Amino acid sequence: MSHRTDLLVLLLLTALVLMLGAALTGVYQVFGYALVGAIGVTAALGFVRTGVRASWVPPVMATVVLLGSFIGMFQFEHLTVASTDDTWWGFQPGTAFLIYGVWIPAFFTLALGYALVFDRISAGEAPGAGAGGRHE
Amino acid sequence: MSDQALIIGMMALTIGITLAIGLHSYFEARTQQQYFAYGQNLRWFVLGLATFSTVMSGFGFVGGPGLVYSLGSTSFWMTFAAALGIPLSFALVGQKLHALAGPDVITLPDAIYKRFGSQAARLAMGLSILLGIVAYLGSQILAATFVLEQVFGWSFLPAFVTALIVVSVYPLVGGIVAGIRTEVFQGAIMIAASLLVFVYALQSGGGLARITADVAAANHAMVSPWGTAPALTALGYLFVFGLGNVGMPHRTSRFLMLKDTSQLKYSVLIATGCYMVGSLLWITVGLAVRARVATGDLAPLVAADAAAPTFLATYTPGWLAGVAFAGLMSAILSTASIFLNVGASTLTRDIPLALGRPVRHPLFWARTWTAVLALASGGLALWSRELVGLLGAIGYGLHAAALVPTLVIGLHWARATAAAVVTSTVAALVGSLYFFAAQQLGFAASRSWWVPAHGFPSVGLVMLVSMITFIVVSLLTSARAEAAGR
Repeated sequence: MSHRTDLLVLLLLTALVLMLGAALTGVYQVFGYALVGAIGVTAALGFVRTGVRASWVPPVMATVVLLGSFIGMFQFEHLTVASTDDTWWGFQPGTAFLIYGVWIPAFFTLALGYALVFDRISAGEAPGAGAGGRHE
Repeated sequence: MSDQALIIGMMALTIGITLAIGLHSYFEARTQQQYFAYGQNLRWFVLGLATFSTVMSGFGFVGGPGLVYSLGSTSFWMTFAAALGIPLSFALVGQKLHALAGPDVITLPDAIYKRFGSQAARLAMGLSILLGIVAYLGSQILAATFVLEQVFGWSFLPAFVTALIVVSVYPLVGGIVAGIRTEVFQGAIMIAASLLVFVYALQSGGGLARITADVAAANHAMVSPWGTAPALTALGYLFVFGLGNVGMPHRTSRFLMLKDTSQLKYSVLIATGCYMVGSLLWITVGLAVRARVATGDLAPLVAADAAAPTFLATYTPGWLAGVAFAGLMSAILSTASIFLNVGASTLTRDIPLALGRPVRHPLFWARTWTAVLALASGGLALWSRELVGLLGAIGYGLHAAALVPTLVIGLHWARATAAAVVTSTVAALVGSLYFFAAQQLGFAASRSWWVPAHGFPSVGLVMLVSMITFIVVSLLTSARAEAAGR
């Protein structure tokens, strides 16, 4: 077990507790930012391998893009659309951040990112170390 | 040829080809490893397309557009979440599960047993997978029945019997080999249907910006990022259908079937890309119909689920409606067949092994359990269609809450313990049953049971509690084990 994994799991626990508290109290902005944190940490759990610096790129990029999109959504959620001129690439401005900041970039940051770093993270995966613990 | 004849012809052709591919797979499903794990010879292209087919259920073709029609952008979050969830599942679970796979590890509970060395953990996984599947299968059979009623004009009973036979016969005969090969064919139909319907949806409304402006004029909340639901509902969907996606056993178990790890590299692009194309139908049809209603071109729909059928009947040529209905049937069959196979593997292998009573003649029992599961789910659907609909809603939630902590955290974290697997699974089961009784059965309204406010999905709450439980119990029990070890 690595110190890094311990730290990531504790960060995930923090994000989950924040999300639970925000969900119960209705503070959706806090839930949103904690969710971005939780997604970033779980992505790091899946991608990052010791000694492979490139393996940090997809989770960090995904987290930064998600964070920017959530800021945009919270900023523009109330803008009204009175005509087609008020839309951003076909959508209400806040929703445009959802479409072009959350949905489409997920393919490039996580899916394409996985394919691009795959060989390096596979090399960083010790044979037989499929799981964190017991192997028979 | 009339439009109706075209639709019937395309549907009959789709079912016929599905059955032919599925039944032919009998010759390659001669061992447990082949019947349940594709002979552990799954390649990247098939993995990618089959993963997309499994994730995109019939809900994406009817229920999704219906939700967009009634809630606006709220429903976007459900389908967009999968664009995050699919690559996350490859990164989080793909290599880890494949590293555990082998002749004696062909199911998820097998892998959990190998990771944690605990039959209790294997049993907990097996039971939660089985309960979720039984809850979900009946709704898929009813969905297939609905499609056959609509297309062929049959009454309920003949449509139901036909749906039951089609859904169950080829996975029964050919196991996962049949399920996966037919998924490739079904996936191709779904992509074609989604792309073509997307183009017609944009044309019908004069482009995205025009559609957005028309919908906003009638109800501005529908085009905002959260739609008409509270923001926590939309954000909750991203959590439940994003991270929750990683816990779906019918698609995660594919990673135990790979020929080798390198098959993951490009299949993630196919699976994610195809699903995003599939989402185009989901997000545009509901908006297009809502825009046409707002401008007075269409009368308001009686039921939201009529959005996609109404759009196809009004704004597309007959041949495209045929492709779309074939795509819908494909989506239902692909999901149901894999559920049947995973359920049969749990009953044939996981639960008996966990109880120390492995079965003799596993293939005989696998086919028997496939038939029993199909008949039981069908019987439940016949007994109470309403109950099956409600149970279907908790099937996904139970899988997400029970499996996500173990797969997302447990496969990576050496401090994770078998006690945490069992405890978090029990928390998921109890939480799911509680909210099923409180919300779906109406106990919250009639007996003042507590339910979350602010629109947050109860499934998300159960997922949060089970994940927190998993980490806390692991910390407590691993520390105790380390102290005992010293």
